[in-house]
Amino acid sequence: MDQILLITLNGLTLAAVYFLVASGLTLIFGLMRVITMAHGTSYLLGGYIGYAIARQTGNWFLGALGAAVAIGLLGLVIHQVLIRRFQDDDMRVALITLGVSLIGTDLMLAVFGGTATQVPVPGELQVASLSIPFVGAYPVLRLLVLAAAIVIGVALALLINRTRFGSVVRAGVDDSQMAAATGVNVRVVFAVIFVLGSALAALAGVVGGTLFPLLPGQDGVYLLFSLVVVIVGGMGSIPGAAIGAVLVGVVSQFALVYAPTYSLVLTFALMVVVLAVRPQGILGRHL
Amino acid sequence: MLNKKVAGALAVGATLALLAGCSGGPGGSAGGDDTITIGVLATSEGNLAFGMDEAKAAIGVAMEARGGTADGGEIAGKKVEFVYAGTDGTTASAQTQVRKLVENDGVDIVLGPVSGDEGETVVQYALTVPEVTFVNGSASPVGMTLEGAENFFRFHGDSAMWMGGVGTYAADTLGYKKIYLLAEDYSFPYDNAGGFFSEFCAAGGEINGTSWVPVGTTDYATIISQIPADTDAIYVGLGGADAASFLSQAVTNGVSKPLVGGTIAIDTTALSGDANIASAAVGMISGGPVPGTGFSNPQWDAFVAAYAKQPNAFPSPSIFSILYYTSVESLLLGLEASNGDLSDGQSALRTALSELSWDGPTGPLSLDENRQAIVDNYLNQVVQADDGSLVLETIETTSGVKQATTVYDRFQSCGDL
Amino acid sequence: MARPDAFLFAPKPRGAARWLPWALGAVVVLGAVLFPYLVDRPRFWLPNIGVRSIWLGIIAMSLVFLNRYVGLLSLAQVTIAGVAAYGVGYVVVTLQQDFLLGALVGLVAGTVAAFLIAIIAARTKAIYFLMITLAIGQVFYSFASQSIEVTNARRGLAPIARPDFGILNLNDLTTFYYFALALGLLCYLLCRYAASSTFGLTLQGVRDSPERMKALGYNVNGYRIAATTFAGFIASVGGILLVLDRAQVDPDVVSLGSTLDVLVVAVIGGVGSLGGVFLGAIVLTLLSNFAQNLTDRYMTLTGLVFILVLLFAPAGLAGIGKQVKRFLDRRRSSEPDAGEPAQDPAATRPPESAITKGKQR
Repeated sequence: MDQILLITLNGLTLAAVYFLVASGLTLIFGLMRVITMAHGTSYLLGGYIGYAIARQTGNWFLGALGAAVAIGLLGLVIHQVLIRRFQDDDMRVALITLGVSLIGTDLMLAVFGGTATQVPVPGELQVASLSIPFVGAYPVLRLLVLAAAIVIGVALALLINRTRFGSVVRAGVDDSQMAAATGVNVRVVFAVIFVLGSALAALAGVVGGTLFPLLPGQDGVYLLFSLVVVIVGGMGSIPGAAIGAVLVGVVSQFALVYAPTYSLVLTFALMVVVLAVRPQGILGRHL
Repeated sequence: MLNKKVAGALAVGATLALLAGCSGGPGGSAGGDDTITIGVLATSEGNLAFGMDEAKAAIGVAMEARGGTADGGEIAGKKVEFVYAGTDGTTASAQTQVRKLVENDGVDIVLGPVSGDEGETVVQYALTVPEVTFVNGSASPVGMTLEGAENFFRFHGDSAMWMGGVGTYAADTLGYKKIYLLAEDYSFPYDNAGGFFSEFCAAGGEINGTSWVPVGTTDYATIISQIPADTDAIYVGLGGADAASFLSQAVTNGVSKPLVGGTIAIDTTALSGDANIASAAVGMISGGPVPGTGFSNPQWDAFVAAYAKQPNAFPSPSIFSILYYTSVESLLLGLEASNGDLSDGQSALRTALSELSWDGPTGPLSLDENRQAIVDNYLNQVVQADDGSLVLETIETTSGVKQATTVYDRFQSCGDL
Repeated sequence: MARPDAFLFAPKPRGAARWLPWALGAVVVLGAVLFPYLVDRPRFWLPNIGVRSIWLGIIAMSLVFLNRYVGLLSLAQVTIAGVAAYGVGYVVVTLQQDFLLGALVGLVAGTVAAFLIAIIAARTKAIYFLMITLAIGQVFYSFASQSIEVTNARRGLAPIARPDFGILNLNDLTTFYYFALALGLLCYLLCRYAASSTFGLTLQGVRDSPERMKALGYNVNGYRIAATTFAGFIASVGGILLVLDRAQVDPDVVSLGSTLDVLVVAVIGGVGSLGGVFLGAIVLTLLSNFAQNLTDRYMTLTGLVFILVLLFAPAGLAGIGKQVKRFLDRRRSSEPDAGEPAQDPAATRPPESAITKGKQR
């Protein structure tokens, strides 16, 4: 029993990272109906930038902020130069951003090298642990990541559901042409959402890069996992991304214990099962 | 319509021009009969992209000692040329590039490759071109020298030999009875762990659990919680980022058991990284072909000094430059012994290579009947230097380690070995 | 209505347009036939450029077929080819059986795999289909990397010797090249035939207005599954050729990198042109063999070419002729006010983007 609780908790903390990456992707898709295949690149580059800043300044939060701002700006450039023009052609956007990720992978390898790095945190925090009933001592660091994901998730949900900006976004999601007709500048809304989504990926990169190593190839890994998360949860839905992340995180941790050889296969198989039953994903709208 | 025709003709013309341009590239059997062309296969893309620089540094050291450069020089009165081909570490690109070296650049000898996957592919290719001699770079699968390729030579240990002496040391000197096996699930860790546990089990040890995890596993929290409390030590058969990830999470999750590392679990890059891994890593032992700091013999000192002068050199030579150096130096010694005679299917060179015996930087070196080296192996331990940095220190040297010719697969207990 | 660029099969061709594509095709085929005699080192050029371009092209062609006639962009074609290759490997290496049996098993395995993928994915469309096939491809990659029993994990299955059928000895490189060329041509003709048959016309109907076709009583899903299965068969042929060329099969065959290779081939050649893929394949094989003589950043170069093609020549190399013509036509018609030659790229973008659009709503 303790064992199962512990594995579940590990799955949830892993899910926190997946959720942070996937929330940006699903937000962009929800409004703009395009998928950015450069999302993994935003994750990894964000992590590297956060690493560089946190190492220089010794301040983790400064690293996270710097990464989010830098990748947000990069997202703005990508959106304005490469995507805006092909707004209505989702396939072309997917392919163009795939090209961006090809280049990103290569350039990051050239700049940051092939060895692994991790975003530094204070030594006391790294070894700190908290006693949890039925589970025993559990690392504080992982609990903090979980808490951060919950806070950000709730904040996103509030932003979309409770603010004026959110109502504009929701109007855009429902019918962007109608929203434009009522005087909303949909173009600006699109750009803001794209920047926000990219910044979220960068933030996820810093958080993920604190728990796990940053190295070439992680961009592809996190792109794939965030695709799986949004496909399982339903594209365009923030709560869906949360559910998808929890499923993927928990399944992968249990698989690692009970069927380590096929743990990756099982994690992806989860997606196939969900699709077979509900092609639009758990909280997705009809196709 | 005319424009379309023109454009179509232009496209076809451009393609043909491209073909012709490339075809006119580096010459057929390059440089004529008197030149010995050596094709070097090394990784220039992907996570091991520095492999090419390390190979060039190694060749630079060997050739500069003979008055040449990494591009070529003169050996036994013959002109020698090096042609470099970069791969990304995958079998597909190794296949493409080795074929390009042999068929397009017309090399006489191939030196390389870097990774194990590439190595097994290159051996298969070597079987199809018996007229070319292959000297391995740093690929270490056990099976490579067991395929019956008479033209394939390896002048360093295989991955099982790299743990030579460590299993006995763990059982007899450290007194470990039970070890938990955590390793990546592919051929290198199979052979590497097989080398360790075959000794450890023979000395009366026991495997009290295994976790073979997919390469790229970064979250070890759950695995760590699976390790039985009564284990004496944990075998960490991980490499690169996975190893760094495990070590940092071992600190976070408070692992207190001693660690035994596979050959690539603690390389200098992991130790010099920024993650706080000291409390888990200090005291960890591992085996490998590379000695730790403070090691000294005349050949080693000369190599390290010459290596430091090479372009793009690391602060200290990596495992790749050391293995490529022993390989290229052996090849050059073989060429000198056979007076650069490549006639008669390169038989003089091959005999010279087979009979070669010399003192390399990492100890004496000779070949067995499978053209596989018999070498010294090193048992290293992670220690904290006075300035707080982590370094490897050699605590034991095992001499004359021979290949055991067992190709290992995933195993769960001593009985499987 | 968005209609993909039809380079070799334009609707109602007149005059020169009727014979020119065929003449051009004949020139290309002639070049391919003479290829072994045009190059100085056939032992390098035939396998590294020739045969590799052909199997890359066949796999990419199956992708293009699906995209052009069904409006689905599948990233699982490499996986399907890989399943076929593993089928051959399993029969020849593990079971020690004849190559012909292996090829048969490979073809069946690849086609069945395509059918299963279609059942899962065909209910979705466009961008979903792309993501799902990408993820399914990764499922198979991780399976192939792990399963010692079936795929021999990372070590893969080797050696798979090329067979000798007496008059057709595939160990002879020139024979092997012509064999591959014949297979490539057959696959091309098969795709063309399928596209111009009733089946193909129905598919295009399904692509352009699925609702209308459904109302007319067509089983839209059934047609999508059938087309994906057919494309899977073509990809499987490519997989058999791949395994003959490489003499081994390992997880790299189905890695993300190989998937991207085929996508690059399709995009550069032209995702709307069945024949153009071979041009794209030649470009890629030349780049992968020779680009490192020019630059260390080969992937950046490939990525840049890829993006530029998507931005400015979405119909790929095969569509450039048409695009140049359109550009010149426009220049001519706007000659009076030639004051603004620099046109907004968005404006020069052909109305019929070769990548089939598939908005979700």
